[in-house]
Amino acid sequence: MVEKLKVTPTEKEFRDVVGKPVVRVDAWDKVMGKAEYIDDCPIPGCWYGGTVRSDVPRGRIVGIRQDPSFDWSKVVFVTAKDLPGPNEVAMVRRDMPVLAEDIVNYVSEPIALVAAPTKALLKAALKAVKVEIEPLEPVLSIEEALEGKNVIWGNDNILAKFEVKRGDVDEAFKEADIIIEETYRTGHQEQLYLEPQGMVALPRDDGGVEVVGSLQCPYYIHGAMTHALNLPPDKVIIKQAVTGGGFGGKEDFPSLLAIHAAVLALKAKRPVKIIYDRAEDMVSTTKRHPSRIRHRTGVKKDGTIVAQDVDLVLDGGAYTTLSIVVLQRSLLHATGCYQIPNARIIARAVATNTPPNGAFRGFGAPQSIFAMERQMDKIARTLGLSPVEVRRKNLLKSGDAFPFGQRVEDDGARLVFERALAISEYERKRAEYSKDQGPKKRGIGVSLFLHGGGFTGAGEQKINGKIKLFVARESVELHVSNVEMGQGAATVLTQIAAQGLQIPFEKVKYCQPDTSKAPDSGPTVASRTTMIVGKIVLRGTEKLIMQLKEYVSRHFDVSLEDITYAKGTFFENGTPLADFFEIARRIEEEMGPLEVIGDYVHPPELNWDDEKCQGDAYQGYAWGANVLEVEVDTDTWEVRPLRDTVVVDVGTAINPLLALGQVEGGSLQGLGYGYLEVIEMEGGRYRNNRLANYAIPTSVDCPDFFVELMEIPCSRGAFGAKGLGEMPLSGGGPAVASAIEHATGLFPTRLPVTGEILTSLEQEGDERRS
Amino acid sequence: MKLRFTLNGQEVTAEASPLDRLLDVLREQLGYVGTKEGCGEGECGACSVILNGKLVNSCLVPALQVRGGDVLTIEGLDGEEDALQKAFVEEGAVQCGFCIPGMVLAARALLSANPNPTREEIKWALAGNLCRCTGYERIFRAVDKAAAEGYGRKIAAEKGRRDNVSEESVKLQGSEPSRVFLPGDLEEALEILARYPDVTLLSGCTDFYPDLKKGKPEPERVMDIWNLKELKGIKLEDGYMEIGSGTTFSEVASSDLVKKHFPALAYLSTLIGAVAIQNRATIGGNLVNGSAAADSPPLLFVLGAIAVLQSKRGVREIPVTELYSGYRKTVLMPDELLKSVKIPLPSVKSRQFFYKRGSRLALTISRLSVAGFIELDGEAVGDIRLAAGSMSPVPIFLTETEKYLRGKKLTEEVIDEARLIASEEVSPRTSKDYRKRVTGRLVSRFLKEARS
Repeated sequence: MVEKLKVTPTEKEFRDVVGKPVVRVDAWDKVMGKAEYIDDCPIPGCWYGGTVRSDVPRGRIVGIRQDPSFDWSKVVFVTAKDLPGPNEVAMVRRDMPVLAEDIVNYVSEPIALVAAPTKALLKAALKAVKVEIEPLEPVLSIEEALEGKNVIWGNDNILAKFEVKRGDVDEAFKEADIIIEETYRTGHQEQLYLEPQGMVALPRDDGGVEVVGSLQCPYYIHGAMTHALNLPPDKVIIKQAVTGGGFGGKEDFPSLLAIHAAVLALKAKRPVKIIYDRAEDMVSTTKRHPSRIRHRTGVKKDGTIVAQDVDLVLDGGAYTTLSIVVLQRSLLHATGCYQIPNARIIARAVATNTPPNGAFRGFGAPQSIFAMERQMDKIARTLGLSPVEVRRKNLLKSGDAFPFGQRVEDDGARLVFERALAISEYERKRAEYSKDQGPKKRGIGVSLFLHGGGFTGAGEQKINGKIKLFVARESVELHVSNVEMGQGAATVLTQIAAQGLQIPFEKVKYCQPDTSKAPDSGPTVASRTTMIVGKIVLRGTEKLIMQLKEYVSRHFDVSLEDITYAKGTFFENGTPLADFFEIARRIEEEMGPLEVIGDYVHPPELNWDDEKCQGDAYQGYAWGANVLEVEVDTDTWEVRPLRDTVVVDVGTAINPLLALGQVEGGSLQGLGYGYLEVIEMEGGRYRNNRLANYAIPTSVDCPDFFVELMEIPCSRGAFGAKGLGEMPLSGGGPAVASAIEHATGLFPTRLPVTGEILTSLEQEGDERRS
Repeated sequence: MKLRFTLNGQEVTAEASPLDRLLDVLREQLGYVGTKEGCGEGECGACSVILNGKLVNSCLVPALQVRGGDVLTIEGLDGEEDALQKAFVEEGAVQCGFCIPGMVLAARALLSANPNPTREEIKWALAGNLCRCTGYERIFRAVDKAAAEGYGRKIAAEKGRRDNVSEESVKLQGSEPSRVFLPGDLEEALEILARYPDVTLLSGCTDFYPDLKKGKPEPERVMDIWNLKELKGIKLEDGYMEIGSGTTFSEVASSDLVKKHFPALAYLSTLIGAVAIQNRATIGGNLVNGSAAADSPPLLFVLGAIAVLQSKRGVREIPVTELYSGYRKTVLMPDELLKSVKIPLPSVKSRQFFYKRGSRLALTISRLSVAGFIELDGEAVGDIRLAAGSMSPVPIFLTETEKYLRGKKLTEEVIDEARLIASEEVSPRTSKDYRKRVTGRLVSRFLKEARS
């Protein structure tokens, strides 16, 4: 007689959670001030680490002198000579040193490290180090890099180059009624996560080291640490602390910081913590790549595009970091949401003697989208058509192909565009605002954008992400290497796991990433966490249920086909047999801990040729349209965003409340990029190097948001989800430029659109008229 | 020194250096790590706490000014019982969470003063608290929701005490008594100033800590004048309005007297940093620190304000225009302090104007500012004074423009000519064309307003 098992409180408890605005799992800790960010964690005996930096953009290190009057026995001092392994930060390449040894290549490049028992002593020690540098002539702009008079990287200062071709561009240009050319430029942008970078390294008894910090990609750091410290993988552990924002800024940079902290900790034989203050963070960490993008478009009189040439250059800064992949994404988003029958896109990333640029939400796409959207406005302006008309003419439809060959699978571009125009009452307002008199003029602008979810090309196959589900007594632990940094991953992945397992949301526990416990599910980047990692989580849940089913089948002697599972309960032909946790407990008792690994499975229909940059670049595209209304004071060129209507297709909104937050936050970050966030360079250093002179939007600079989520599911994402995190940012810049154009009649070609830029456009206009 | 104050309703003591920041006292001495540091110069609001009922940036408050005070941090709120925190959670106002403790306290400070704010009022009240994640929309909604539930009225009853410093709440130790002075009244302060002319005066400290961040050495001797009653307050006397140098911009902005006689000054005061800065920054500090981008000097120039300087030797009055001897240098004698500013009351038919253009709309440092004062004589320009700030070490009068305008009727042509003259009178070092053009246009805007 088969024992009847416990049935089934979970059935009543389970509620669908996917698609529901579930409260974030971390909300209460954060709102009560209880969440422990890295600088909040008490670490007994911890020393403070600091960095000696270059103050020239390029030069030869002649000497590093330690003031003999300082008592160096009280602190730990490290230069390149003291490194335990290769002086390389392993990323896409290994061209960036942990500490500069002979040559410095940018202002603020780390040269030496100090750790001291107190902050005061650290400050004194840093002051007691003098680095003598013989300056060399630096390369400070895209133009100087391309000119190649001074070669600072490889043979030609080119960090990466890609090309995409479709059709016969030269022939097609002959058929054009008019050829429209323009050069667009975008500047640096600082991520400005509110919590500055910070890392703690703790030496381990086994000679290894553990690092805890504010970070996005535990396994990137793991890889970089094992390489630079010459340690086997099991002797390096990376844990994430609560992270106060990342936006890409904590994707690549923490690898360098973690190695710094670890080197100091290993030498000091005690924990060492490095917390940057805002100024150090701003001068030394990665920014968004500045760009110069030239468009040459052949169009028919009715606005139809027949051919397009794009020459795209990104400023990578002194070392490669992620520039190769950023450039690829720029290239693949270069023609935006439009059908271009004949296209030729050449993309290059160049090296300059400026701080390395790296990942930032959007990852190369915002620059490309800005240029393309501006070019659409330029076409409209030149032909005397409306910006809407020109876009409608050329929208990508289901079945159309991108220049790199991938077929579009839905009509998202048209749907979000038309919806945004309708609910914002674009046409009516455009007419109304055109009549504004007096110095304050309103304007309305529209941008259309897209984002490919997940890694580019074969990236996901290479990463081959894995997740782990561990069944504890009354809960299921979810172990992934994807972090919560504010975007909501902990909550959304919990929802996906709970839905997949059909158990209550509260019974799934997302575990803070820890490389000693979580498999490598890949980095928290590329809008991949919900879409791609969520899908892997879902596969893990299927596998777990299958294991339980097999047990049930054996235990009750029922054939597998007759067993169904729903809402936490196993049934035989409709009769409940046992509940999820009861079976799990029995398996554990009989066979030990119950855990399963969820695997990545590449969609077989997708093919990508990395060499030729051809094929299925992304697993799915999310679409967005942004209609922005601004008021411009034409006396002072002060811009106030009034209303921002954003319609985005997110595939499936796993958590609509969090999705709205992503769209609003990303859009505002894009608006900041569009008109506020200026970084001027002077001799290779940022002039805007403090919060007092780098302006991000405040609550007053923020428009009222009207966001609508559209759901066109993508079969390759968890429950149909598409990548959402980055996309909204791309819409902000071009929307703001377009709205300012409408308000002022001036046509900005560079971001951010500052008062200075509008003044110079106005002067050009004055000169043309006189 | 030994410091005693009230933290979240409990009396606490801490060992701290007098110039330790309240932020560090909370985080490092007392282990209250809910308060975060995002910039250390009052530009992000992550460290906001409520001190004596007012929102402040705890990175800009010296420990010695907390003596006997009443501090509320995020740890002092009731969590699930707190309607505001609950609204933040439910409305999805929390993402990375780093700005949230400060943001919640800023929202609380708003609702305790203004239980039913409009969306615009919410925006201005939170302008000193940067959030990089949310786009603010969900935060606004959370504040709306808490307001609708009567949060402001509920907490109004629990409002913090006013500054109430008892002798025993601080004990200086070791060499501190010869380096740190805590005078009880103005007379004592002047006595100390006469004896130690090198002493640095501390009031709101909103410039003091950013200067330290930028590498200025910590002063040998300091004297806290924040609590001196003789330096506070706004009154009318003999045709002047006298504003104590220790009066904060919040007090200036909310003064009915100022609003009535000097609306441009009231307006200006709302644009100094954001709320937490306005609660600490004083008009005297703004004048005496003499930053090139300071907002009050250009306006006080055109209003004909007088600086009242006092020392043990007596009182002297000089026009504010004669206060500066160079960039961040004043003519104050080492034993003198700025006691107050006296501004002659303008005639009812006069008009005044202040416009500041920063890099964004709020929490911004002026990239240029224009101040104006005009009295029309019939249709013709009578008395006119125009000044521009942020484009030179000290504000300058636009004397050519004034000269041109005097006695003229404000026709379109005259205004346009004045615009051109004004734009040529300033010589900014950077962003020349832009700042010159805007200066001219603001002068023109002022004249058009004066005419109407």
